[in-house]
Amino acid sequence: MGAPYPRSPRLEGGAEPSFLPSSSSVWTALGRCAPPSMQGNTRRTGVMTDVHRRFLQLLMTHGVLEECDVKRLQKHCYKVHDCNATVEKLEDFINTINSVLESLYIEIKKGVTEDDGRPIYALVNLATTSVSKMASDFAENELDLFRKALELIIDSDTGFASSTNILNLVDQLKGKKMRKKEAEHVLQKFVQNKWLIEKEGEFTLHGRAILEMDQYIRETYPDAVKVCNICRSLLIQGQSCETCGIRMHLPCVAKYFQSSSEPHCPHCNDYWPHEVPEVFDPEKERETGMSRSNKRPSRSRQH
Amino acid sequence: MADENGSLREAGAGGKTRAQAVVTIPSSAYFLKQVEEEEEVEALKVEVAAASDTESDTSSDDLSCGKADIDPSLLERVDEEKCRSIRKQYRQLIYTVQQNRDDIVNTASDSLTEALEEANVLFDAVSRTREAALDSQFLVLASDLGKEKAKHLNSDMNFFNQVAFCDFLFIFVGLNWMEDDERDPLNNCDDNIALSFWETVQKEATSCISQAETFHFLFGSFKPESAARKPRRNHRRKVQKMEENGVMPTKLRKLDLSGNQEATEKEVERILGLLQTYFRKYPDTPVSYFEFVIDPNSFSRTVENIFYVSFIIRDGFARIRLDQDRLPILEPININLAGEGNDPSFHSRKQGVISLSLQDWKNIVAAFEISEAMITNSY
Repeated sequence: MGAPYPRSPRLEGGAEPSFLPSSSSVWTALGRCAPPSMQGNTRRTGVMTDVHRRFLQLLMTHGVLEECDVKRLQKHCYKVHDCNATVEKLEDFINTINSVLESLYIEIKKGVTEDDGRPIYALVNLATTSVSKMASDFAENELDLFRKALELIIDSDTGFASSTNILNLVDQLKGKKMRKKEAEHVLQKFVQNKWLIEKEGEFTLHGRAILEMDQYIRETYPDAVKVCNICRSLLIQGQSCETCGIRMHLPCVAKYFQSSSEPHCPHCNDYWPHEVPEVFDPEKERETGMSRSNKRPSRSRQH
Repeated sequence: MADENGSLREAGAGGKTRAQAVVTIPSSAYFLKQVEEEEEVEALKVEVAAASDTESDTSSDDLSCGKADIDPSLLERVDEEKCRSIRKQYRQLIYTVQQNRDDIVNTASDSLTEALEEANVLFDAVSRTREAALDSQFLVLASDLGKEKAKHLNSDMNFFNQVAFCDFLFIFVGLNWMEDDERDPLNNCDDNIALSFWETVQKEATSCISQAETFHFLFGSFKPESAARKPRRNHRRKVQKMEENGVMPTKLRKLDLSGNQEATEKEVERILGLLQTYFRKYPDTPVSYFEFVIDPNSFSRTVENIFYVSFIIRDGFARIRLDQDRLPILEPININLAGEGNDPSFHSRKQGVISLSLQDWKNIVAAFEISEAMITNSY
């Protein structure tokens, strides 16, 4: 046979091949340094080890984690199993896990919180199967409550739905009749499980819910869905231009207007009336040592 | 009955052939044979009768009708062969069970049950006491084995006392007050107690059982919804006023009654501001007290105004005194002048009580011709 040609490796199900040639490893084998353009493109999927499995189980317990916690978790998993191995790059680490989870329609997705711009990682379910319909944590009426709350959040201007409005819809729920007091508990359960965020009596979607329900929202509410002008992804909270109506995520606004002193709308060039937030800097976060739970958002909600 | 006829015919035919084959049988032999035939017939008849009788007996047992008198056919000669075979089978059964005694007692097999069922079948054919005695002997043996099997079970249970365990469990969870109840304690268990019970047990149990968390998700749990959504109105509003959303609160919170204190302070300050504005606008003109506090449209507002003004006077921002017409007037007190020559008057404060009835209020409104309130509303 000839020399192994570079190809992107494919894994099926839980198969663990003993050796996966990837293009950059082939280049290094040939004794040359790989061209920089190639290094970024190939998805290096390594072997799934116990380190990966422990990480996956821990992420499954939390559901969603911030990037700093994720890195710490990765180091912890390495320490538990294999002290001497070099800690793999986070992106490759997660790609390895994702390639194994592909056949189960589960994925670790990376996203950004809408109010702070923090990067988060969430384990999400991608498909509706007969198993997923049965294996839910919530009862039918609780799921219907979430769906109604989701609809209100999508339809609202600010991305927030007031609790009174949600509770007023409790009578129309499918399934067992739910009292208003129970509905309040269910909403708190959603907040605890990180599906909703509550702020001053109003609810909006947590980053985890946005990552998981992205496809569902686009399919079910195609006319009401709002899209960020810059990153083109789903928008729940954000700032909007008053003349032309385009919307942008707060972290996107921060990045776009980072260096300009007079922000102008990218679409209509009108003066941008809202306060431009700061770009999220993980180094600064670590220095000040503020944890996420203690910090209260300093910016006022803008639409 | 058909069988009987058939057998009779056979007997008859057999007899005839026998008679034909042996021609030179002496008449006595033939007679004997005849008697044998008769006996055979008789035996068959009796057997059939006995069978039918036992059948009727068992049927009478099932129907439990009181047929207490014994059928006389039972007391007659029974077929010895049959009885012997029944006895033989019983003895065999007893022997088998005795041989396999250890097996039956120690293993969890159904062999004892099967033996009992076999004995049941045998007993159906029993008509004499001799066989019945054997049957009872087998039953005694079977019940002995059964008792041993039960004892085997109990010997394990002695080490685990269920009642004591339940008591300990309740104490662990903190529900030991329930032991005093004579009624079943689970009846008056409401949801919260049951929930806290399981939560406490779960905390202990999860530390012993290592278990990985399951996968929690939301997408995929919805059943496909019919896309019957009305088209969303275009909500693009250039200017969004908060007042347009209405006065409905976004979150229902408990009424904060202690906030009333703040409200009083705010009101007093507001009225003080109004008073000072007036004094700035018209310097050196004290305002008539009644004209200031009275609200011609609302008596309750008037009383409130008097209340707030009294605070202002108490705090020393204004002064009330009688003018030349002996009507009360409000005068401003400059804070700067407070330290100069006003100390004696400052210390000798007088207290007064103003009483105002509805009629008085109306009279004052008419007398002073007050058309509108000086203290305007903030809302």
